[in-house]
Amino acid sequence: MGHKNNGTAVRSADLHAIVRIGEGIRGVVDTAREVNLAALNAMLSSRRGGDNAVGFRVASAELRGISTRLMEAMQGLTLLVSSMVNEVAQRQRKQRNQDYFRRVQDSQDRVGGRLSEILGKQEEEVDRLGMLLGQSRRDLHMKASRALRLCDQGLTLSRSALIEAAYGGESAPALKQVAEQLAQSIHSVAETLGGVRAELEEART
Amino acid sequence: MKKLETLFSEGTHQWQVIARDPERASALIDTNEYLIAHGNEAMLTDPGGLEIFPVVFSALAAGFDPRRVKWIFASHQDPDVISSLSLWLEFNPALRCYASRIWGSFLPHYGGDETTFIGLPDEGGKLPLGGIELDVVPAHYLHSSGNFHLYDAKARILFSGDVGAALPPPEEDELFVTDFDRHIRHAEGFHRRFMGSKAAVLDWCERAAVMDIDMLCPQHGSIYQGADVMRFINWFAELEVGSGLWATLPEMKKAA
Repeated sequence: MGHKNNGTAVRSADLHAIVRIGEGIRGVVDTAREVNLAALNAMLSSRRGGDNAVGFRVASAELRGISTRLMEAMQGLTLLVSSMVNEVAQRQRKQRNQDYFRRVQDSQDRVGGRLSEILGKQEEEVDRLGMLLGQSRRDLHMKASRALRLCDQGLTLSRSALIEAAYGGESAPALKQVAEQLAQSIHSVAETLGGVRAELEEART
Repeated sequence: MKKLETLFSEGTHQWQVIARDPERASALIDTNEYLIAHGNEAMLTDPGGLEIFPVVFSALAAGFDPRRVKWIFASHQDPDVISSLSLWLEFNPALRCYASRIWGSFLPHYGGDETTFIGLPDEGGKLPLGGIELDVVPAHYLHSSGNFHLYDAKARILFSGDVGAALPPPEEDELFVTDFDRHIRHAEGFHRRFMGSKAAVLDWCERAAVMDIDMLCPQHGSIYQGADVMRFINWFAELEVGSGLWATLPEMKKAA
């Protein structure tokens, strides 16, 4: 029959947390792709705006560069999260085995020595996986922070694009629309990444 | 590492397979886990053994939100099919597992309690999934005495458990069968030994032959598609299977 205790709840919470982070990053990958497309669209729109839209064209080209770097950063984060899911799941399996041996140990004095030895080894392995996971969490936090800095640059550029759009002459309304879409997408990326980073910080405390 | 690959996708209706793990321990038979999603719900077929839980879970989570998996379908009771159940239940205690009702008091040895299992009657039936229904196809004695397959009429895919399973060498271990005659050699010994009843084989072949099947998806080895599906059904109907004793005769071992 199923054995439910605090250990189970903690293990399950760990796996849920990393799954939520993975989902967040998948969302960012999709939105970063949208930013890239919107930036490309902005560059094309600015061509139609002629000389009046030069400033807008420069800002949108820069934004495209940032979204490309953001997508690359997300690829790294996706790989890291994938290996973390694996580490958490492995630790969960080892901890579950540990639970079973602990239950035997509680009721068996005769083989207590051997069981302590087994449990000792299991604990070492669980600790090793815990340390690996801690390192992966720190890497992930660092990479998420870097990506957030890219988003800050992107937000500044999208504001510039919005200002430049106003000087776009006849194309101004179209440029404004594209600039707003860019700002909205980057804001959404920043919000999700902020959530990912907060989740990681919460897991550390 | 295992990888999630899409077999069928139409709107929110999807079939994906978690397959091929070149890094698995050589003592472990490789398994295919299928994820069927519709709307907000998903079902995982034969989620695999305890040892491979980390690779299956991480492959799934890399391309799909595992919190959407509400159901597990266990074709039968073997450890390579369902011994990871306790770990899936740790992740989501509300998971429900479908399996033949004859395994009702056996499967809790892997984990779960009286609320976890939904016993399937011998005649099969329909399983709801996010607003559609999947057909539970009886496949008893192929090889387990309480054994089911799962048919999705919308995707025209039959999950066939151990039927169609093959153990090809690594260099021929493809996701899809590309050369039926070459592939089936790696299925023959397994089917002769594990499928214990000719009557059961013919019963299954009759059912499968009238279904509209684009892909026949076994738990081990490559997926049959297109004309290879009917080739497999015809091959299986002709195959001499029998008692386990017959299959252990030395001359049969040589043939396998």
